[in-house]
Amino acid sequence: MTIQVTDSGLIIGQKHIPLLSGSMHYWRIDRTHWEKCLSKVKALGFGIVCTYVPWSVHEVQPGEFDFGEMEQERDLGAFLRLAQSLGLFVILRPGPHINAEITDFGFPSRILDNPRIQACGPEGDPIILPALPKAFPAPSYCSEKLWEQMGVWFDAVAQVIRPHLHPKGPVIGMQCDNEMSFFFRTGAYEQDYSDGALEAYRTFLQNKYEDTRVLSGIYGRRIETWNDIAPPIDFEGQTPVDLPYYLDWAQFREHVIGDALARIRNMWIEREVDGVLFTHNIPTCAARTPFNIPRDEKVLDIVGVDFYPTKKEYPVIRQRVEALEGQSRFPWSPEFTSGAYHLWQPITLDDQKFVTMAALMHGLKGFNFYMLVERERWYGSPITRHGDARKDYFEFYRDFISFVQNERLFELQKNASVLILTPRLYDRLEKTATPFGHITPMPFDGRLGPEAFCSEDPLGFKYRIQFEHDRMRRAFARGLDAFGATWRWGDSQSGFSPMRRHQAVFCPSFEFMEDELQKDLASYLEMGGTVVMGPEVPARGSDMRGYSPLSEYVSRPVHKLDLDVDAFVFNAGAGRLILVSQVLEPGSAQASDCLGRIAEFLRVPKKYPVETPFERTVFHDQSRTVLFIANPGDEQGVAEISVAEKHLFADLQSGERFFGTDEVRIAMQPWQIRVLEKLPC
Amino acid sequence: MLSPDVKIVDIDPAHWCNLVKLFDSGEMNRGMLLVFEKDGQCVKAIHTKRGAILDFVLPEKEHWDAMLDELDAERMGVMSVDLLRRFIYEAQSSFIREDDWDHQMMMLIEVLKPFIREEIAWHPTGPNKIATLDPEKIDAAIDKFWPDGRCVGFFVFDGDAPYTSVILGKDKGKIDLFTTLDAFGMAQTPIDWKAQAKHIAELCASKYSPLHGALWIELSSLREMMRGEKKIGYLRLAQTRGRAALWPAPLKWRLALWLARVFRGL
Repeated sequence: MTIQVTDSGLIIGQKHIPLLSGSMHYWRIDRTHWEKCLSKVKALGFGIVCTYVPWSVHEVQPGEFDFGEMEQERDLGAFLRLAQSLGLFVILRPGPHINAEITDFGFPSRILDNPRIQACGPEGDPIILPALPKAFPAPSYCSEKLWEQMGVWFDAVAQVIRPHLHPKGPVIGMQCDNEMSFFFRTGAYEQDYSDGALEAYRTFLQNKYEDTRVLSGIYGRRIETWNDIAPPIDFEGQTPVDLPYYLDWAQFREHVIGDALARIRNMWIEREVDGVLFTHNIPTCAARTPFNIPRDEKVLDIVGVDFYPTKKEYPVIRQRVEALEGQSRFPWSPEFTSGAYHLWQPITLDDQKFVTMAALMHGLKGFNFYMLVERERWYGSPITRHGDARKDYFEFYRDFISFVQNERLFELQKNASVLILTPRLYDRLEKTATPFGHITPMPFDGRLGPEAFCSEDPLGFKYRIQFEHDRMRRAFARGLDAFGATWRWGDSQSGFSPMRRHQAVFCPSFEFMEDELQKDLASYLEMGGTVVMGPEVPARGSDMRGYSPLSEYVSRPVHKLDLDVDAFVFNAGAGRLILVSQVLEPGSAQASDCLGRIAEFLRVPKKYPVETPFERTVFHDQSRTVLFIANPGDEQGVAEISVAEKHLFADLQSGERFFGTDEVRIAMQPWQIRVLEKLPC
Repeated sequence: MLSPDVKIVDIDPAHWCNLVKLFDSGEMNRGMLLVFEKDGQCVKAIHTKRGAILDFVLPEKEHWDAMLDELDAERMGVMSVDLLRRFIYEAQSSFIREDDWDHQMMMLIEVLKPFIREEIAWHPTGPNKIATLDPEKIDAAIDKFWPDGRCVGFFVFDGDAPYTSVILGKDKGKIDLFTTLDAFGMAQTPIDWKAQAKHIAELCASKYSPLHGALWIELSSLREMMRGEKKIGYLRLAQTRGRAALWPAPLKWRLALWLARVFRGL
């Protein structure tokens, strides 16, 4: 492949280019305006344009396609030639699901209306997506009939795409499907119970356990054949041994998405659409189960997350960008708001300005602005559908791209000292141990915590792990923020290697934990790492049977930390294990004090702490230290940054300079984010 | 009412955000306590503004008012935890793919009604009447007032600056166009709307279809009208003061006739 992903963008041929792009939907724009629109994309400073290729628009009869012979707006080949002539690369998104705010989300009606293709609820009812302007039954990616029909579509569109693949043509990327998420109906027991899904579920269990006797032992009931197993349709677990049945269901749902993405990628390769990036985008939500970025990036080059927040949702954007930064090999948003759909919350230009900077501040390195060119069912883009500039919008995006490119902000590194891990098994328990598994939690994602959805039964454990794990990890994060540490989220699916790059790993730990993570933590300790965990040392593994490689380290503490909370230090291998013996309340004084003292004890570097309501992030490259300061509120104020010695900062946008000896005072307007570079004094 | 192929184009972002703001009262109620039970035991309590209340135990009935005050909740609904699952099943099983979206949503509300009325114990009272309208009647009423192949408009001005605008088109009994003054490049330019109304109507006719009727109104008058109890009275007052106009003038007679028909029909 001549295109590679690095930690700061793409290498195409010999050239390093940032992954900064914007969307234009060719088929929705009058052909006579294509050139004007693309020229404006270029004038904004973008080198890549991105477009969906809608199955339902190109299919004029079942199995018959129009790529410009009947309507010139459908001439995908001409669009690609034009992009190339203007020096633009192209990323294509041929679905089959595209959403694109198009009726039926890009599927021909005949596909959605076919009962053999529809996903099912637990009682056989179709899964309805109440999308405007027409609700539709969601298809199932476990339907072989769907795959067969997708093959017909891919055959047709591959013929048009092939001649335009890089290096001969401009196409550098193919997005495999779009926001694959059970069509946003992500409740654990909402779907999919279609025949195809049941077959896939049984195959999944067979591959995982190989022998029904093994499964019988773990599920604690007699299973003669794989067909004896029916998936859960509600949560009825009461004790630890009941849980593997539900946790497997959650894992299977990740597997449905991951396998479908891999299958789509392989379908392109079989059709000689290859040598390009294969990407995917997760809908605008926290990338937790059924999403699994580390797993999906084993088959795809980059998996990003879509963002459409307002500035008032700053905590949500922070949380999601940070999660993505910790999970993906390249933190990228395949759809970052530049305008909005009318049925989404109103997003103003002020929102767009603030959230774009906020995403950059928390580590987003690649943006695809959706939409750069406005079209039907969209507003607030910098370029109108006639190719004219919307002045204020156009100026903002032009200046932003120029700023990011001139300052090479995509090359900055976070240099986090601490990795805060999210054990995926707890996440799966959170998702499945719920009395509300039939409703979609996505609209509340990031707004209501897991307490709102999870069962309150301790399930035979000391703690209600299904939501207390999230409390513990948030307490770690808030406490380390208050201390001034730079940290990063991690996903236990990423395995051992991210641990090695950090001075310490903080990990919520309860009576059970996945086997692999326990092994990884033990290996990390053996090689000299520090693990802060709690409130318990796991005694059980993934299948709830006894498994406890970490317990051998905690027989005799060498030190008890002088804290309000019991916290013990153990020598563990060549490293240290610190056990915090209770669940901490995020943001509480007790948690801040506890985490601050632990961080001091571990000599975690303190980097420019700042008092609330202001927030800061710190990045580095080979020669620079760059500090972002945010004021995410309506009040103006002065951010006081603690420094250990004389410091001089320059605002990279305004040119203002700020100097201080033990603190640097920086005036902040409401909803402002400053990007400061540390200069030699 | 809504065409599946509705074209929503040339929406000025400020006009859209202002339109949404106009209809957002900004009033916040105190929220509601939802109690979910299984076998007579509370398994989950959620305050719609504050989130989950862990380990909630429903007190004796005589303490409910005090409890709601303490939790700052307007009312409480107690229901079986499986109600949501049953509602979703009923709703999905009743879905008619061929229907228009508004028909599909009305059906959803119809399915929801008996659950809310019969399966949730409310205290002190249930939500106010759940309004559902017969989509067929609405379609018929709109058809009487607004013929196919014509547009209707709603234009609000803050001084001479366009504040928000909506132009809707209709074909085959369904709304198939939603646009704003941006379609004519006029969303951000100062306009003497009294002098320009005819010109805008001509632009609308040449680009889409003739403007069948429109309301032009100044923002301050619209706000007064929306706040006031006698909305038609406020509209007439604004017209008298030259701060609002129904266009074309005979529209008001058509509107009166339509209202008479609709309300007599109901």
